[in-house]
Formats: sequence, C-alpha cells, structure tokens
Amino acid sequence: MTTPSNPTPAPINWRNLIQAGRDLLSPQPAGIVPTDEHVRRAISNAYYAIFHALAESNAVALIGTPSDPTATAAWSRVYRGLDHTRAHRELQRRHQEFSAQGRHFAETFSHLQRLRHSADYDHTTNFTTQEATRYIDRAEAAILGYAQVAESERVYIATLTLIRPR
Amino acid sequence: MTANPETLEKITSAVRAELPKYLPAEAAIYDVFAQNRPGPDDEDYVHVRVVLEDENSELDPRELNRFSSDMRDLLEQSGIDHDPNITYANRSELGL
Repeated sequence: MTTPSNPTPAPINWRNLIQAGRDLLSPQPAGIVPTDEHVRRAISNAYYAIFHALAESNAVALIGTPSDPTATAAWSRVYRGLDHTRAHRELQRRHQEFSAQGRHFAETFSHLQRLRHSADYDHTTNFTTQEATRYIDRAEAAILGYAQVAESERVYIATLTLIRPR
Repeated sequence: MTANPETLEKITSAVRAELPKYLPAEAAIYDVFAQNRPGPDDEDYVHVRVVLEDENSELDPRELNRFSSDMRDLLEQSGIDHDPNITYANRSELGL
C-alpha cells in the first residue's frame, strides 16, 4: 500500500481563499477599481472556500485527526472524494433535514456553486463588487456557523455528499 | 428549472415584502429584479438582484443567509418550487 510520507494532512485553507477573494476586490494601489474579471474570480474564490471547508469537515468527521500514514491516506481520500455535482444535489434535496446552521451552510454552498458557474462561464452575466463582497461575507458566516453544527450532523452530511446509495 | 414570468414576478414581490425585516432599519431597497440564468446542472436557476440605496450600513451576512432560507420556505408554502439566488448590489454600481 502506498502511503504519503507526511502524516499531517494540510487542507486547502478556506480562510485564505476568503482573504484572496477580498484582496481581488481591493486591488492595490488603493483606489484602483476591480475589473469584471476580479469580481468573477472573487465569486469563484467564495465558492471554493466553502467547497474546501466541506471537504475538510468531511475528512475530520469521518476520519478524525490522522495519527499514522495509513490514516492520513484515508483522510486525503475522503477530502478529495467530494464531488461538486453530488454535493450540490444532496444538499439541495436534504436541506429540510438539517439544523439552521447546517441548512444555511448547505444553501450557501448550492447558491455559490450556481453563482460560480455564472461568474466563470456566462459572459452575459455581470456581478458588482458589492454583490461579490456580500457573498464572500455570507460564505464566511456560513462556514463559521457550520463549525458549530453537531458532529453527528456533520458526519451525516459527509455521508450524504460522499456516498452514493444503491 | 426555468421560472415563467408570472413566477418571477411573484418571487420579486415576496422578496420586496419580506426583506426589510432582515435589513438594518436605515437600509432602503431601490428595486428588485429576478431572471433565469443557466445553472451548473443544465437547469436554469432564478437570480434575484436586490438593488439597495447607497446609504446603507453594513449588512449582516448571517441575516442574509437566514433570509434566503426563510424565503425558500415561504415560496414553497406559496406553491413556488424555486430556491432563488439572491445578491445585493448598490444602486450606484449599476448606474441607476
């Protein structure tokens, strides 16, 4: 069995993605107005922040903190197993089953996935700096709220977003 | 799922009526627009753009998330099976 040499997995840091999105909306030097492309990338960052927050939560919920290379390999497999389409579909379908914070997270995930699609591919759709700024703030609030959700619910959401029933 | 013009109008009206409960008292809505946009799953989604007067204080992102959830419930109760994406722009950004 091939195992990674580093036993401590480092997730893609959702806080840094949020900050990178904010940086895109405040280009330097001060006073420079963000371009349409800056705004598009900022929205995309907001989505990937919540995506990687869910990937990390899933890995922590199902595997915990790995203490050896085999557990690290399992952690990484869960982390990388999150599929955009499946996560969107299940979080949309099951939103009524979640606590308020779980639901806000699920809905913000789904909404941001749609907005990212528009921001990245739809040249007829433009977003404003304030729209992007407020969605970055909402993504951050949803992620922080999700951290307060009961572990059993985060395990449940991990299984919903990762496992396809037969 | 594509919303017809009548549904878009109902969603717009509902947002306009309910949103002030979730905004700071000094916030003012200039206008609300709704339209279909292509989504990532080959289905359209409803994008609601709320245009605010520029003299707003900071909006609470937790309240905006709560509003989205409550609006979805309200629409479902009205027989409207759409989960709109709501964004908040400032009037001056759109040249209105």
